[in-house]
Amino acid sequence: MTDTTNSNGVILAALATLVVMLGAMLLGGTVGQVLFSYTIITFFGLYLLLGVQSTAERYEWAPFLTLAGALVGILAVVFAALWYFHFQNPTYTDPTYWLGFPRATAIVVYALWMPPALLLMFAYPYLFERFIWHEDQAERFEQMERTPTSATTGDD
Amino acid sequence: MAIDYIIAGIVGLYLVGMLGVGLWATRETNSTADFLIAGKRFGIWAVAFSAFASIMSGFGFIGGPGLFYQGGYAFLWIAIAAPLAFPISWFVLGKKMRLMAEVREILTIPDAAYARYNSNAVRGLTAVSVLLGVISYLAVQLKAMGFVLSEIIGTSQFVALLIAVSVIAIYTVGGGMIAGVMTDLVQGVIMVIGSIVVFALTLNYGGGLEQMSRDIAVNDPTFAGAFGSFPVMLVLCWYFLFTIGNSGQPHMAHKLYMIRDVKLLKWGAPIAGLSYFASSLMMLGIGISVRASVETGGIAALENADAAAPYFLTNFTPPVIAGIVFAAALGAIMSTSDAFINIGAANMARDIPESLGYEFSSDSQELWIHRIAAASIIVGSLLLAYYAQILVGLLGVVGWALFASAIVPLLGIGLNWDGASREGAIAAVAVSLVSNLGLAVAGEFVGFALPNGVVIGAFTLVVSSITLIVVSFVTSSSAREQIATDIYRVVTS
Repeated sequence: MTDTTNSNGVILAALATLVVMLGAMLLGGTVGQVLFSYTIITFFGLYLLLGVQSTAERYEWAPFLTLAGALVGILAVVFAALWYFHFQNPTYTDPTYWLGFPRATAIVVYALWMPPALLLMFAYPYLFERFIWHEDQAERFEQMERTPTSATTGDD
Repeated sequence: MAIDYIIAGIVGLYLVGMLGVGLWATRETNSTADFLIAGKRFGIWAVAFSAFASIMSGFGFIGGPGLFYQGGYAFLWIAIAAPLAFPISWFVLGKKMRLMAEVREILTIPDAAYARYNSNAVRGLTAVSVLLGVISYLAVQLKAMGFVLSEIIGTSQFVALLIAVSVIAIYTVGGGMIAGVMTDLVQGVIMVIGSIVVFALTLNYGGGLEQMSRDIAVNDPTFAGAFGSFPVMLVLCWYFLFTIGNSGQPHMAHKLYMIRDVKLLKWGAPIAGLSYFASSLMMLGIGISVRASVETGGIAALENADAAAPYFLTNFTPPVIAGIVFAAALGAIMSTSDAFINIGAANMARDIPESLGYEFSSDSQELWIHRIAAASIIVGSLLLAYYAQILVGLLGVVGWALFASAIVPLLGIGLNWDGASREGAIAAVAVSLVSNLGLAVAGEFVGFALPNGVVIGAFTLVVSSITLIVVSFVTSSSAREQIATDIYRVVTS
């Protein structure tokens, strides 16, 4: 199995997202807040894909694209619900309560806190042996020569 | 507050137990690798619990209830970040960091930065960023430790701090990371159990979640809102900074070196994420229930928001449970402190000297220098905490950000993208340092603030990441050739 070179697609998408995110931060207001929230979740997906891109290029992209898509999809729907209920009553005067909280707060507690986290928490062990630490890779690293020290001089 | 001897006794037993672990670990520590990365000896429970316990810190156990008390549900956004942040960190850094320690003798975060970019400038700048963050965090943790212990044993904060620091110094200076991870494991278990029990007590005290939500909204309805009483943009910045920034925290990332075998990483994300979730329930319960009592006139307003947790524990919790939870709070602070002491010692004794070309003549000499450096870090942070509060305050504003905006681009992106160049790395860390410190100083002395409630750390994390990518593209002609073959295999694994 040979080394691969990372393609630049994910990093270019991450760069574009970060630039828009910076603009959203500085823009502020309702549009800036909503745009910022969606650039945040887009960046979560891209950062995840960046972390697995070598593995995906070596084996297959489908499970990781599905995972990142599911993460971003869940968060996109949750944020849509959050913004909807928040802007319906931004002062939270006499709010409607769901499961102990005003509706927008309930969205944060019950939908934003654990569902996306649980998806990733259990996707990692599910994908671990098939892709992330496949026996091919384990063998390859076992056969590699070790450099005894971290080297003592740099090139600069 | 009057001394409760049951609480004081439980906390005393806990401190003695930590000393015992420290003495055992000191006997087990025979090399620099043992001291800094525990000789890569631990299984996933120890490493995952240690990672979550270090991130929880005094900020979570003491500052967390205080922030809920102060701003209503705004602080939820920091609490909800961690369970998502741990699996993201595992996906992005888990395998890469562990493999770095597999192919080289890498013991610190600046070691990894050096190996990735083959540059002493990158190592030196990373070491400075980490050291500044460590000093600020540690000084704040030490003050929190004095605050909590003084509430328990009824002495002045300074005397309490000296007692706590003596315990932590004995187990950290002698036992390094072996002591750190073993005590984190014990402390993490106590935190999880204590938090769940106290959360149940707060629900009972406050009359349930809906009653508590209605009560905190009596005078200011936004307290029960999704963003609390804080600006929306500020709260969103927290969500971004604390989720992505998790993979840039040296006290988390560094733990990934210590696992015995790469394949043990498998269950680390759920263990760390679920443990953090469980242990954050206490801060939600205490902060909101105490605030609700204040709003409805049940109790007088607290002079200091950070007193919310000690106040609830001493007044509304059975002494045995209060003692266990106080031990958990001390544990949260001590687990973060010991990680910072070890990381700071490595910065002083290894990263900065090596980036300047100094080499130790033997491992035993290096181990002793690390022990001396650990002691110096403790003394230095103590002095800073009490005699240079402006500096601590300044660095405290950007502590998490100093780590995140330097390490996320360098390692979070750089270990996963072979196009990241040395020049890009140097530019990113330099931008991180200058912008974090510059904005903190401007805020302190001329009242400057970023527009729309934007948090400095979120802004600098975005800017330093953009800098790494743009400068790397501009200087990309030799980026892939700059990476050593073994490290290239890690990056593309």
